[in-house]
Amino acid sequence: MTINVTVGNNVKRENVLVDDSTTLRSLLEEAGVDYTRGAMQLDGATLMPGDIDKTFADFGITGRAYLLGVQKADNA
Amino acid sequence: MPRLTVAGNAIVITSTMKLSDLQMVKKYRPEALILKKDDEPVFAISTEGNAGINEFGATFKDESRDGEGFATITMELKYDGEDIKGYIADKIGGSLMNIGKLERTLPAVVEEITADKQAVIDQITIA
Repeated sequence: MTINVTVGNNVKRENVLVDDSTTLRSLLEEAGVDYTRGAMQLDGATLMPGDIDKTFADFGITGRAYLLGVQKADNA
Repeated sequence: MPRLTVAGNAIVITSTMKLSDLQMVKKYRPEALILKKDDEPVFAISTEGNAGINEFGATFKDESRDGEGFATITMELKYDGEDIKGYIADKIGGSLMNIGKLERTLPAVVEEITADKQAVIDQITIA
């Protein structure tokens, strides 16, 4: 099934159409989002270790989703 | 435009494209399966993931049994009213039109990929 995902971070977001068999990691890497900094959220819920290698279908996503990185800037 | 057949509670959507051709385009030219409006992707055809159709795309995983191999999607009809055609048109008519728009462009893409593959094969020498 094709799903519409808004992927990005605090600074940049884009809408992409992907297969629900796509893993979160592969989409993030394709979109150039650094998922090693800050917390990653899928539809507002923080992802746990191991979640990033699951597919959107594994999370029950069938239509639209938001996959966003909430990055915190380092203080000077 | 894809054809629809309703039998009992099943709807079968049959594309004008063969499943093998869609799989080839998905592999070599996946961007050709995405319909864009103002540079934004609005609809996509795929052959990967769960089969189905929604407002964002159509995923074909099966093919017709008539020997032609056209790509198909089978879904359940959840409607007990009288106006089945109107219901289907209302639910997935927009998606079917988008599939039709992509189907018009894909035969040329298939030809290009086939020619490119043949050019590669022609360069292979088995010593």
